[in-house]
Amino acid sequence: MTDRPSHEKASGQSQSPWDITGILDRLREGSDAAEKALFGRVYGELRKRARGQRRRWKGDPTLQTTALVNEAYLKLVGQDDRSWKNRSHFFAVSAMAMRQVLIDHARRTRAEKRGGDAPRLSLEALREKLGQEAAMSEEDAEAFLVLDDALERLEETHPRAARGVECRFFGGMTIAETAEALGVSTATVSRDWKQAKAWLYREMQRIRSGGTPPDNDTDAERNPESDDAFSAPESSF
Amino acid sequence: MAEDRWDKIGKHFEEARAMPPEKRAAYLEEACEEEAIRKEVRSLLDTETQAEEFFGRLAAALPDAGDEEPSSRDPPTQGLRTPDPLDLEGETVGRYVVETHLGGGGMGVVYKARDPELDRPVALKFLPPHLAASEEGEQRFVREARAASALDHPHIATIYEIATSEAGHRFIAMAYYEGETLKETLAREGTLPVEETIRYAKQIAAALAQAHDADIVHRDVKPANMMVTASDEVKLLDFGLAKAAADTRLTEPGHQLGTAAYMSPEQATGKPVGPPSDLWAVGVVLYEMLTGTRPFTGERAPAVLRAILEEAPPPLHEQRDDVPLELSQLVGQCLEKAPENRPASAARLLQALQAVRTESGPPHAPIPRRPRAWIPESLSSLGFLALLVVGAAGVAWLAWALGLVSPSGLFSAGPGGPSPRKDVTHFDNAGERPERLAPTTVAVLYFEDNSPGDTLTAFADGFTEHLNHRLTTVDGLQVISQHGVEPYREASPPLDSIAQRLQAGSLITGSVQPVADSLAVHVELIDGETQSHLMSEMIRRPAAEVFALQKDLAREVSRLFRKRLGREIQLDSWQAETQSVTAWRLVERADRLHADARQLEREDQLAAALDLAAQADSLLDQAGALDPDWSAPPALRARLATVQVDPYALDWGERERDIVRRRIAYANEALRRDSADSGARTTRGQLRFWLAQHVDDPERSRMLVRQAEQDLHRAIRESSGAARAMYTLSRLLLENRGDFQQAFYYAERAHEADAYLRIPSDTHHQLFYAALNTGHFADAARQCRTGQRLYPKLVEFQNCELTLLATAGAAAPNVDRAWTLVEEIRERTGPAKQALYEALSHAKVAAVLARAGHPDSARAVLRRIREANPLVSYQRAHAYLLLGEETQALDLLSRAVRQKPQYRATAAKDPWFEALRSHPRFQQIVDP
Repeated sequence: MTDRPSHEKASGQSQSPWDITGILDRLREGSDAAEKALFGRVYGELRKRARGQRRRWKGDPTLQTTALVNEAYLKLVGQDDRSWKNRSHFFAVSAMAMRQVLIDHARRTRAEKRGGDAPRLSLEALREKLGQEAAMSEEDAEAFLVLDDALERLEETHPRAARGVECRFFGGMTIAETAEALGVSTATVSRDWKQAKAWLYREMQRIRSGGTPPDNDTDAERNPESDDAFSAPESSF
Repeated sequence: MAEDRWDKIGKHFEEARAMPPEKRAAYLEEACEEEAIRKEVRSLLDTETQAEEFFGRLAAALPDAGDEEPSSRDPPTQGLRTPDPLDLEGETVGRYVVETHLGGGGMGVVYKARDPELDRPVALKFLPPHLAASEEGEQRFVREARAASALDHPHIATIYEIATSEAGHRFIAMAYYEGETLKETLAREGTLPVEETIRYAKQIAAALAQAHDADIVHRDVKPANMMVTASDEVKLLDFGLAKAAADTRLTEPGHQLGTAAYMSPEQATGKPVGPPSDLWAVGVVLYEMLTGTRPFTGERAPAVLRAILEEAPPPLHEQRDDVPLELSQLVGQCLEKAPENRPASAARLLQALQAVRTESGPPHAPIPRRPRAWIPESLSSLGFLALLVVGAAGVAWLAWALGLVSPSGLFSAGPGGPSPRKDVTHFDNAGERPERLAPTTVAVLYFEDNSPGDTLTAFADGFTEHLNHRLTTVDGLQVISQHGVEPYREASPPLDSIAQRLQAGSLITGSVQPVADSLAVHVELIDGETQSHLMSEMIRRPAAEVFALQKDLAREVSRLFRKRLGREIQLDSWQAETQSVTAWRLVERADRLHADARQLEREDQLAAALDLAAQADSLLDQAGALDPDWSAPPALRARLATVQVDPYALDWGERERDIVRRRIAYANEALRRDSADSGARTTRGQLRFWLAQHVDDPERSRMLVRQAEQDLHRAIRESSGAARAMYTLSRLLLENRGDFQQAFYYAERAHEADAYLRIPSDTHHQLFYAALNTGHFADAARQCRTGQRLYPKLVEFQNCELTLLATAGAAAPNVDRAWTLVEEIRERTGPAKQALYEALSHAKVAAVLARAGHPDSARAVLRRIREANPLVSYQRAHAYLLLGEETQALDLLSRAVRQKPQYRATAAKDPWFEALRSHPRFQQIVDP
């Protein structure tokens, strides 16, 4: 029982020296490169874990966002690094990755379910249908995508609040963890979180009704082709 | 800059949110200097509710949806969660992880949370802000909650602890019950049937009796404080908390009206409040349950209070025909203005309720109680016994002996309480009581020390506590705490009165004594209702280290008990389902035959097993015809497939497929009769899953797996202890989906849910496999050892050790042990499977040899294997891989999946083939 599992050695990847602590250190100092490197790793890991489970997004505690991120943390960082600071930074990056994984998944769901030309529901109609089915429903997917668009707009004007939403909503982080990761007070996180929800909702209503943001013009509306293009690499797995 | 502006808006938004809507405009007018900011805040406030709802619902679609099992009764409203007033969702409070806001009222804000340590849901109740504001209010809250937390009764919500969060909020952690409040039930149903009202009333009275005994007055008995759980039991909430809130309560606008309706005259006039006030409130609640309206109403609180003080409500039996006169009078007595004219105590109220006979009878024809042990069916009618025992004293004794009244209760009738004479007339026709104590409520009475010099008292106590503790961890059992049984330790009243007092349907008693150099524990399981002995066992263990012995014995007794109780409960629930006694008896016999048949099948006596199964089938056929609405007979017929075919045989022909298809048809019939029969649904899922392994058309196979998965998920969702469904789902995920994590999860849940140990070896074995495949080798080894200890005859648990030895990383490759295991497996295998099992074991031994550095021996063993079975090929592939012969391994693997495409998913993720993962041919094999 003392010998290590051979398959871990065989996979090669886990042996490659990957200086996570160094990356996290640089991350804390605000290095974009470090963030990118970490994002890539975490994204890959989360995607791998989430992929086999498409049909069971919901109802599976082993697939909790937090649990997933925790697993990824253990796998990539290991159990030795217990520093709270490192954890929350890691989690914050993971929240971004989680958002991406979810949005990928939502695009795929939409593409699979309707191929891109079903009637568009208003945000209000959409709201009524959210979160009811065991798997991600078409409405859920729509909602995630429109949220993603709105969040992009928030990022442009109020990046701190946007990061907070990412941490809280997609990363399942607590207020304290979010505050630690973003380097602001818990009161700020809590306030941003509430304000951002209302702001985002209003923005989503605008997007949904075909309007453009008042202050910023983006081509956030995506056409179905680009959705397909995005989900294409997935099918080759 | 932008951030400045955002923050400014945020602050105003936060301030305004905290205010009642009507004050917001004025605030904004005053506080915002800029019109643009004011407009923005207003716009945010306008969208806030929708936004919260949107995020709340969308969060449910995230992978960490709060409710792992949305209950079938509330899916559409699930999304309409109220916003999260303390903004705690997702936060950790104390050791609890807050999940969703459940509601709130004057008594506090309630959240559903999870206790990760004990992995159970809890309800957290936070002190309402107006109480939290004052030091005194807070202390009172804590004091009252603490007093209430000492109560331990099946119909009182259990309080786990009173604590303070990091943020300084006081909260009470209590048991979380699936269900709704009686208020919600009444809002939906209007009125309740008389039978059900009486049943609830008795539970409420029993709970109050115990609280009043402990000097705790509820003070706020009302439908909103009564949970009706999913198993249709009432749990009284918020004991004593009203006292803490009393001062602040009356001044709170909007809240009072609902509560005032249940207030007693003395409460309404500010006089001292005692147990009679609770009885008054029970009267109001009963009145409301039976008529749909409260006895004292008015548009505003003062009018309600005046009605309470002055008016007499119309008698119940005039309001509703089927209310028995006795019940109407009893409710009238509860609603007596003077406290001393109400029933003398909650215990008296309980007795009187037990004596009420419904004139119209229950909605269905009554089913005679299943005869149990010494009380013959005919004698269970007290009228008959009353003829034999002449005189009031005789009847009184009899009533006492049968647990209808406590001895003290009968002779201490207070003023205004029903007189003993009146009771006697009730008991004359008491016949059988409609309410039965739940067998799942268990009291473990202190074991007696029967040693010569009383040397084992400490041991007996320790053992009792261990046993109590062990049973507490069983899902679905309610175990009376140590504290609750303590009073019966020295004074030992008759068992029936203990059972009634504790509302325990099952009692465990026994004794400990030395026998030569060992200790013997004698244990009995007693039906609380009839005092018949359901189980009586003697277990002997060599005297050893005391603590270990206590634990060991407690484990053994707990196992015996769970199995025995499981059968009782199954029989009881069947009895409740059918109107036909004959059908019920036939099903009971068939069930026994089925169990025997399975046993014979395990022992490889196939002909005899099939014979019993055929007998069972014919009994069930008759039962199904006798009660054409009852789903159990066809459901059991479907299950007989487990005897008729061997699901894991690798060579199914048309005969097997045909049998299974026909049995699926029986499951369909059962579900047609009762779509909520989750047992039948589980069986259908199980059979579809089997069939999927053995149909040739891959598309058809995939469809069957999908359907099976749906059945199993639904069965798990719809029933509380769906161990078999979880177990089967775990297999499906492991074998057809290659989804090891999920498989592990469901294996664990199955193991926990198998409260009555119906499939214990299966769940252990599944846990082993799931742990092995997810790389939890230490867990896997533990499951394997446990299996060997508990089921020494089962080949699976020898095989599992061999698998561990063959798996790199799981165990040291002990070649000697491997060969010993091959021998043990051979001894436990019937002739029919001998050849296959030998081939499988040899393939594993080859793997062990390869790991141990004996490649030549490994090859020699592999060459001798002749079986061409796909599973054997799969295992040989693994051995060859360990020998470094990739091509050979890939050839064999390819052959295995050609014969059994179902292996692809498993192979793709099997740790055994980790080293091949990146090989293009391997990828081609697992995902063509």
